[in-house]
Amino acid sequence: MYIYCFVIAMAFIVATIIFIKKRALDIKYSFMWLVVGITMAILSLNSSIIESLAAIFNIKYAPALLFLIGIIFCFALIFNLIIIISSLKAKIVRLTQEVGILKSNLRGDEK
Amino acid sequence: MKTLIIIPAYNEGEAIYDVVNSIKRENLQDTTILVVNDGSQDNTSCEARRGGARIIDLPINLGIGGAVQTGYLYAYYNNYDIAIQFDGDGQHKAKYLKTIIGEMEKSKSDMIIGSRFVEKSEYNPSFFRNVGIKFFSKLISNICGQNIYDTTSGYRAINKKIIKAFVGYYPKDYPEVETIAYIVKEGCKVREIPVEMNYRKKGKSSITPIKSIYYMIKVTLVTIMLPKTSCN
Repeated sequence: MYIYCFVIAMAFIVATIIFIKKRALDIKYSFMWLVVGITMAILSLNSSIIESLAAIFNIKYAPALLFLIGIIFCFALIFNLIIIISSLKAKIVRLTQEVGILKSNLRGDEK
Repeated sequence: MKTLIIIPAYNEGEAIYDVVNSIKRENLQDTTILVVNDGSQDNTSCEARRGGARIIDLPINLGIGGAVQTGYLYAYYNNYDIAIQFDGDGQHKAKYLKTIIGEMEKSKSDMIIGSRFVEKSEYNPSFFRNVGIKFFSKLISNICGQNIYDTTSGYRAINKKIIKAFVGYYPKDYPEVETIAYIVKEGCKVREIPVEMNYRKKGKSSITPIKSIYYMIKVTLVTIMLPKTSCN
C-alpha cells in the first residue's frame, strides 16, 4: 500500500518539476505542489508518522486520517481556485469595459 | 452641470432608436446620451448610432451590472457631474429627466431614484412581483433607516461622489437593490421622486420564476453582507 503511495508521490514531484522547467506552471503555485508532493512521499515512506498522528486524534484506522487530510486539502484548494477565478473575472470585466471605451474614443463618434 | 445619460442595451435593436430620440426631444443642456451596447447580436449599435447617441460597443457580454459600470467609468474619465441610468427598452419616460437633473442640483442628494411607488401610479405588478417589491422595500428601509419604496427601479441619477464609488465596486447582476444599501450605509443621501413608467412593449422580460427565486436569495444575502465602499 505505502509503496504505491510513494510511487505516485514521486511521479507527482517529477511532473511538477517538468512543468516548472517549461514555465507552464506559475512559480507561485508550483511551490505549493512541490510541498504537497514531498509531504506525500515522506508520509508514505514513514508509516509510523501517520499512525502516531491517528493515535493522537483517536482514529482507529490510520489511513482514514490520510483521506481526511486529502479531502480537507482538496476543499481548501477548490476554495482558493474559486477566489482566483472571481478575481480573474473582475479583471476581464474591467478590461472589456476599457476596450469598449477605447474603441469608442478611437472611432471618435462624439456628438 | 455636465450630465451623462447611460443606456445599457442588450439586443434592444427594435426599441433603442425611439428611446434615444425621446431623450433628444427633451433638449437637455450639457448632456451626452451614451448607449452601452452589451455585446448584442442584433442591430442595437447601428440603431443607437442612427438615433445620434454616443456608443460604447462591449466586445463581450458583461451583463447589466458590467454594462452600467462601463457608463460610470466613462463618466468618471470624462469628468461628468451627474450620471443617469436609463433603460434601453422604453420603460422609462424621458420627460422626467429634467425634474431628476433639477432635483439633483437643488436637493444635494447623492442619488435620486425615479420611483413608481412614492405616489399612487398606474403601475400594477403581478402578485409575486408585488411581494418581492414589498419585501425589498422593507429590507432596505430597515437597513438604511429611511423609507425607500422602489428599490428595484433602474431609473436613477448619481453624482460625482457615487460615480467614483461605483467605478470601484458595482455588482455584476441585479445591482439595483444592493447599491442603495451600499451607499446609504456610508452616509450618502438617497431621495426618491415619483415617476410613471411604461409597460414593456417590445422585447421580453428577462426574469423567469427560477431566476426570481435566485434573485430574492442573492439580493437578500448581498444586502445583508455589504462590502466597504470608497464613497467617502
